[in-house]
Amino acid sequence: MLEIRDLVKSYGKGPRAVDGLSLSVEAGDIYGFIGHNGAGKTTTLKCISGILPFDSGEIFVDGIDIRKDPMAAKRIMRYIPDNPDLYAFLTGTGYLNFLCDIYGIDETTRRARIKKYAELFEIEPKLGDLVGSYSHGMCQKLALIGALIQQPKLLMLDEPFVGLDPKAAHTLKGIMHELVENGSAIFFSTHVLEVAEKLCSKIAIIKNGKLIAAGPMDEVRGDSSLEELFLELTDE
Amino acid sequence: MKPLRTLIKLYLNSIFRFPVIRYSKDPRERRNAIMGVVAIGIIVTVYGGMAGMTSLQMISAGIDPAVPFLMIAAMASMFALAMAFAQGSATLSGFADFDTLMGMPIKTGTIVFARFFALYSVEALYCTAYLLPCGVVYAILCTPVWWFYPAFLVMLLLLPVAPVVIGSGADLLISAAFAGSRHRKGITSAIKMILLLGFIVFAYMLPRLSERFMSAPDETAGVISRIYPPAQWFAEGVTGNVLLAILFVSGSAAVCALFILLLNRTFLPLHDRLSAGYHVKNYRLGTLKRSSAAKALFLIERKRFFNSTAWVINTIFGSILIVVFGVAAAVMSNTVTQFLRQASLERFAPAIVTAALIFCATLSPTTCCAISMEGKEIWISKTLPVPAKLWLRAKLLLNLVLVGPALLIAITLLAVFYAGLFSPPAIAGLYLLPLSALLFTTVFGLFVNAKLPRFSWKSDTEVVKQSSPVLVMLGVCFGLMAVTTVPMLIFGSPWVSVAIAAAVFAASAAVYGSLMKNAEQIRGNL
Repeated sequence: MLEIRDLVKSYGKGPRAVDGLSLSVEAGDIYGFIGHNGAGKTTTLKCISGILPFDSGEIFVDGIDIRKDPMAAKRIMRYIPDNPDLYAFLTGTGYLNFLCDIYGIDETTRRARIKKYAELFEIEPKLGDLVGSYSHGMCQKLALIGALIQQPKLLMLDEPFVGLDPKAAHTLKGIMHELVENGSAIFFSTHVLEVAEKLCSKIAIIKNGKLIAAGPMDEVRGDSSLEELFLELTDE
Repeated sequence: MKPLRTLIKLYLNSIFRFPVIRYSKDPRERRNAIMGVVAIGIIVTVYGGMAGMTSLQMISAGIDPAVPFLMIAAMASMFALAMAFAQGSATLSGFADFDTLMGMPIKTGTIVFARFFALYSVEALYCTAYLLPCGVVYAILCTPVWWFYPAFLVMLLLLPVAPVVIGSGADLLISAAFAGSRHRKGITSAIKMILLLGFIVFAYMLPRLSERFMSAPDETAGVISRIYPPAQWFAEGVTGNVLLAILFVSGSAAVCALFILLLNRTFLPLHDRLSAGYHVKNYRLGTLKRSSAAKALFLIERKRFFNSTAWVINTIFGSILIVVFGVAAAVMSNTVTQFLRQASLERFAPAIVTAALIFCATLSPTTCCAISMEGKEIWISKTLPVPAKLWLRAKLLLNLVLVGPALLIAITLLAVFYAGLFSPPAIAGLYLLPLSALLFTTVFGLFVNAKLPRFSWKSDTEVVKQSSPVLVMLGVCFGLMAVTTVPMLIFGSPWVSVAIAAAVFAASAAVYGSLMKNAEQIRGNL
């Protein structure tokens, strides 16, 4: 579903934020992406989603080259940043309806999907309020609903559990499982290693822009815990 | 005092972006910040030069030196009042650092004073630019007593205090009154528009109260003094009236102290009220309307525009002025036609009318800050599966929709009511030239904003009023007025305007073509 080959990205004349990164995410994967602050996780996610141009390398989403046909790639993937700034001047419904217009979702489907996810995240009564009045957690929920109504083939999330209450975090984990069971793939960054350990089928560890470990969770982790492995690899 | 100094430094850095100029490693961001400072410098120099020349002419003509001081002080005060009214609540209560600062061991009064100072300092800069040249002219031509120099400096710095207090206080009151309403932005924008329009009409009518405006400066001065007495206290004070100087200084200081004291006491509840969101009780998902992607993008652009009071005032004001101009010209067509014929100015009418229309239509295109206004939400536009052309076209269309109809109404009124003054080719020019200018500034504004975008802003006023593309477009507007109307005045032939319009249309098409050709690259590089 996602194929990254030798990705290189630097900001101006600074050092490489991502340095020759290659990995692949298959349909049905919940792929965790971990690394210390400034390791290059968000930069990688932004390059995949088409927010940032990159220096060299190739990114394919379901076989589509993100550089050659960004529109087609964007149509099948969604990215949610760690601190989603949404249109504060719209109501929750207005924002979701806007996204449905962009993705060409018909009236019946959009209503059913919005209702389903709004009920799951217990946000429906707030959808009539302006987004500007939402808390961080509510913005996070709205951004997630905005991504889920499209039923993307590839869902990329940057620190999705930050700001979510325990119930919403539990709901999200359930939805992630449901999505991958239906053939999608999820690639997400996190600092919460316990969550990554329980949730992910595959894991990648990035340090100073370079991938230092990647693969199925059990293979990468071996006999130690993910925390022990992470500390061992990143301290080297 | 240290927290106050630190906060003032912080806010001034936020406005003038000195740290970006000094430390930014992003050449585009750095260039953008430098351009902003340079543009402010150019505006300050041009206006200062004009004010200095006016005082030189008046004092040389033997007019009482207090009169130019009064006129320019009144003008500077009006400008400061309008600016403070447009951005008062955004600066005093809108900065996003409220939670951070209130969690620190800093007195509320310090925060209030620092924010007020940030608002005041910009207006003080402009007031100094207007009045310093007048002071220099006065010092050279009238050789005043020694204490003129320190007194002038103190009074000059105090001049914007009262207008800033009145303007920002009114803005805070209006914003607080409609806080919590779903249409708060729309209502406050409408009220501000009406008040500002009334203010400008009133200012325009002022000279007409005195039939001999130019020949009777004293009479005019009297009228201005009655409307805004502090301007008179300032003018008389700097030119030797000690009592009025003391009255001005003490009055300004007292107004400032009172306002800060009051704001200090009400700051928390006021902020609480202003940040109150709009809530619907028992909301249930209803029917959802479907639109095309292009329409959805345009609707978002329109909502974003009407959500920003500063942006609305900047652009809609031009449209309103165009319609007011057209209607007023239609109503007074007989008088104006008679006057133009008597004064043998008929041949200049097309150029004058065209210049006025171009000025109103192109002074502040929405496109010159449309990209920057996306702010931190830009990630949404960048991840949407829509061609960047569509996204840019929505921004272009907004400006055309806002200004185009007003322009067509005004031109049609002029064409109908002044049919005797304009030949058919002149009428064609009357339609084509302002429309071509509108089209050019629309596409060029977006082009400039694409080159100089700014997404890290805390208040929309920073983008709408102070960003470099806006200041660049101000220069483009005046340049366009000169380029389009001067040849009309020189050559006189109505076909000249048609030829210029064709050239401007061609230039617009070239810029539009470049925008569309590089649309993906433009969005990708943001």
